[in-house]
Amino acid sequence: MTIAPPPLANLFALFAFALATTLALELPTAALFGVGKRGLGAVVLANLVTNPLFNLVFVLIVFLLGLNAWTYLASLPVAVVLEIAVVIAEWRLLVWALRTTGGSSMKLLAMSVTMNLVSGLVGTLLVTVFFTPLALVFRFF
Amino acid sequence: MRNQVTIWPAGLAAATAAVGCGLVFPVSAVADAGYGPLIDQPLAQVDVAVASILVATLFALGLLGLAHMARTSRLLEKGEAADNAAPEEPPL
Repeated sequence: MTIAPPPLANLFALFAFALATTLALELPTAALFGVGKRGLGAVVLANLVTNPLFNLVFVLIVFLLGLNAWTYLASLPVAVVLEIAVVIAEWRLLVWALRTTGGSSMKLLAMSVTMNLVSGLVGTLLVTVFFTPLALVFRFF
Repeated sequence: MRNQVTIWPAGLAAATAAVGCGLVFPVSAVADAGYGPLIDQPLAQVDVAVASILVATLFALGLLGLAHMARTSRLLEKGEAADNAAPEEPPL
């Protein structure tokens, strides 16, 4: 069983899809925290910094491991570790950009955790349904 | 506070460079060797390079935008502090 790795166009499509989906999920979540237009702008910019980098690192790690049924399962903890790094990075970026105009540091940390929890869970679901060859996983067992 | 403002982007840029260097070399080696029995078409090095440039560009744009926002936040804070400190106007 072989899987063709993504050519460049697919990588771009993956990055664009991931960024658009993440923003579509994280902006309404951030709005619930009442950070205002400047806060939402900072969320967009923080995602420009973290999201494509997260996806590039994740894709490279998955391909370094070798994409098959076992490493797909093994990639989930990798994604969790990277997601934790993203939460911390976005929190510090938001604190840096908004200072006290966006609320307290703890509020921005709670916002970063909630945003990434929502986008991480829904993103994993979307990737599993649309991008991952589930048939391969089931065939393996 | 001023040090914090300058250290964070520099730290992130250094971390990105470290991650990039740490990944590009093994990926190049793997791309040369192929991915083993399960994957028969290795990810081309040029794909990784172009994708890395795109990611680095977005990373830089995001940081620049955030740096601009940090500057305006500082100005907003100063404005608010000045408003709070302004003496009341004497009655006419």
